[in-house]
Amino acid sequence: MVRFLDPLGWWWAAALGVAILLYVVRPRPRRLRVATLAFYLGPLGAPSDTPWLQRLKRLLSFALTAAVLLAAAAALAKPVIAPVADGLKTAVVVVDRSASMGAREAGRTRLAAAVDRARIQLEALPPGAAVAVVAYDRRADIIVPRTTDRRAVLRALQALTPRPIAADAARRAAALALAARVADLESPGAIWECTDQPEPQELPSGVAYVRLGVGDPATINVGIAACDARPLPMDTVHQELYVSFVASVACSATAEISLDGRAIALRTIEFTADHLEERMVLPIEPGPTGGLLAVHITTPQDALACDDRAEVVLSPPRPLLVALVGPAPDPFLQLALAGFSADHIVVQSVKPADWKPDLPADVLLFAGWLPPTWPVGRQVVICDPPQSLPPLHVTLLPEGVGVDSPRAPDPGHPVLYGVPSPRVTLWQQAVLGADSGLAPLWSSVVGPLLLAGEVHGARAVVMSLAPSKSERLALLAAWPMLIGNSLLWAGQPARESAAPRRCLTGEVIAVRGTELRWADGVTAALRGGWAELDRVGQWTTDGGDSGTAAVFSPAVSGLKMAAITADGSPLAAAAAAASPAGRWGGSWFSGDLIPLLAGVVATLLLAEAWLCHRRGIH
Amino acid sequence: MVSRSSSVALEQSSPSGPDDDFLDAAFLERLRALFVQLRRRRRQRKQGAQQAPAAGHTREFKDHRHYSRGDDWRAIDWRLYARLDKLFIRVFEEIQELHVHVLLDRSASMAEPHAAKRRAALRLTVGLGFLALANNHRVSFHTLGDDCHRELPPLKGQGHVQALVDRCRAISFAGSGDLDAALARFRAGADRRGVAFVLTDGLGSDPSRTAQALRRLAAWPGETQVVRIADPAEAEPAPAGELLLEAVEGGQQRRIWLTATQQQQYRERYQTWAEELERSCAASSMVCSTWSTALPFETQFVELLSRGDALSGGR
Repeated sequence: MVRFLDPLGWWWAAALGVAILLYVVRPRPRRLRVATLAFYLGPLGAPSDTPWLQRLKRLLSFALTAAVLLAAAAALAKPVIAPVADGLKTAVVVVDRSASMGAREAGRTRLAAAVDRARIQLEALPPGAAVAVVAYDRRADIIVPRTTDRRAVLRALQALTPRPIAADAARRAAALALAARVADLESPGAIWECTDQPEPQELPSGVAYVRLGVGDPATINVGIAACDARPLPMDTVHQELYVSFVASVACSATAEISLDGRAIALRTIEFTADHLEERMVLPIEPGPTGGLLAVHITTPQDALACDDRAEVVLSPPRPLLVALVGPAPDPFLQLALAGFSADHIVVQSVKPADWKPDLPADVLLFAGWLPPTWPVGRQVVICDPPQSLPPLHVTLLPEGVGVDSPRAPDPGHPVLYGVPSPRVTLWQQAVLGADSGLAPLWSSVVGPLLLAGEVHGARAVVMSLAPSKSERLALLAAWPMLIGNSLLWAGQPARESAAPRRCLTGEVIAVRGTELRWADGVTAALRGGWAELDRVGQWTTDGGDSGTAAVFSPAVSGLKMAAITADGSPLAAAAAAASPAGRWGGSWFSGDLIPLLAGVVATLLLAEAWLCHRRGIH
Repeated sequence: MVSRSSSVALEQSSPSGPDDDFLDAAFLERLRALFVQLRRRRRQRKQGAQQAPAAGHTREFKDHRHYSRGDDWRAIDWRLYARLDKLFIRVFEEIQELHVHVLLDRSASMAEPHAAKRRAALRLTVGLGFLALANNHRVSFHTLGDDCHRELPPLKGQGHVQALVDRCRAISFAGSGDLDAALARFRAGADRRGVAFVLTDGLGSDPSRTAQALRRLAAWPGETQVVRIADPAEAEPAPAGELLLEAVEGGQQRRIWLTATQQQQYRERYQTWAEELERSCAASSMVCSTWSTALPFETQFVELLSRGDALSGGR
């Protein structure tokens, strides 16, 4: 069934009256009787048309002109063909409300255009059929349960707004599955999906599927697909900013990076058709109290605003706090610890008698001593364990074993960064083992002597070697490197846990407090300690939690979608034909008729020119 | 000399309508004056322009001359041969009967859209006939349409002027003539001698074929004069603008938008065609002259006769 999105466009058909008037009162040509036509027409212009043929041509010219005007007026009325659903009892309108549906094209969002298309579909639905509305982004919601109240459905559709949340194929499949279950409540049913995405790989079974596609592939948009700032290795002062920019089409954009409102970098980024993704790495130096790092990318005619800005809350630089627990630490161990800068690592010695599990430290360093129980949830580094402590198993070697060039199964492990394993000669005092979580980094002929991994969710490094007995280890830089790497690697989660949280929009996170406040002043009540991040920007809670949320989706920023052709695509048509919903009018052709009418207008103009005016004589 | 009685008769039968006023009394008076003028000019010119040395049935001795190969041996003066032992032939002065053929194109383009062409053609026909009959020549009158139609049997004597005039009045200019086919069917028969006047405008559905059609008269043993009846308005195209052209021959219609460029092309085509027609006639030993409806009759008539040598020197 043909529907018109803008029926007022038919007013342009009034121009047909002008054409008729001109045809009726057209100035008649002067009639002239001549002795011969040859001198007027030339050697090739022999007269060929009889008077009745001339009249027929004039009438044909007028008819074609009228057809052109009618086709143009029809095109201005924006006709679309909506499938006629005979016998359909349930229709589920599935609306994609993800971030990309907020892209503005021709003065309105894709979501608004999709809702218009859904409204046209609903008008073609039999009055007794029920309608439900499902909207999805990262999650799927039933906006309107099955109802025959069309006004309620239309109100709900009009109230939908795009959310700055990326949706992936899995979420979409879940939404379609949900819609299929709703449609199955009273069959035959159909799913009308309003989206800018291409048709899903697997269509819901048992129901007809129609995609009401929107979106223009030529829409311009640039966005930030990833943004993060991380401390440099062995550097607690400087950080490194990593940003990934994505564009939908080839264009030029300007990226501005500011720290606490001060612009620190301005870059022009050129996107080409072959490289629609550009990356940028920028060293930054946060202030003593951290700071708010903001990245903003702009381009003329940008369609989507929610992906243009990203914020990162930088942690203030602080040293790693290490608690050294042991009766008499190895002097070479103390020597290595003393070599670290206080800006990077601060070591606090604790006697075993003062041991308590909640010592204020990022890393617990046990030297020749182990607590009675494993410190659950704490990052630990153990040197020369005297006995086993589940899940750690220690088999002491009374005499010890000299090891030359220990075997390193994983030489790229961060703990071994800068440590030349083949050149190391040391003295192994025990054979180490673990039930799970700890993997050997060094092994000798008798067994592992260096383990690293996670125990009870926290990082742990265990080594059984005596630097004082090792011939060359204590004299090389490998020993302090090994100790420093172990402390930094083990303490990394502790440092990051103290940083503000960086989340994606749509995530549901556990927070403390009763109210979540966004940087622009919008607040949301927290129930049950959970919050859904449905906005872009910085947030805080009255419980002390804070963080940022961003879309960070290459698919959203790139506006990846199919062109508007898919309503009557073979896949959908096949599904419609196979469905019990019955006949679907216009299955071979449906959707937007404007391109077709534009083609008709052009063809009619060409036909009229060729038939009636190709020689300027008729 | 034309008689006063015939002049009066012509005057009485002259039509009253403006279209048929090609033969009024004034015109006939001008014709008679023209005849007198031409006769006076003839007397002032050298005698014998219309005389032929060939033998004939009506002969008057003129002179002797030496026999040469090819002469009629019947003209040998045997008595003089017996006396002088040389061959001489007697030369007689023969009064040769001149036959004037007037071939008038009666296609529709001769009357429309410029009626002056019809009037000029009929006046010229009557003028030629009047002059020939007054000179005691034999006159044949044919019209050329789809076929060649003999309108009158050969006339002789100025008493037949009225018959010629009446026949001219009855001629209807209509249809799309086929000049080529008509001239192909023109047979002189026993009237082979004399001069043929072809009065045509050369126009029609395909003017480019006119020259080819006229070339059929190249085989005519006597003098051939092609008189192209032209109206000055034909040389100029219509004013610029949208036109619905209708050909008077065939009724074909074409709607065109005439521009200045096309007007110029029209003039060039017309001029080229006219020049080509004259060139073709000259190449076929025919005299081609243009008779403009805008110029005085007498001037063009005298000019026409002066271009040929048969009728103008008649006795």
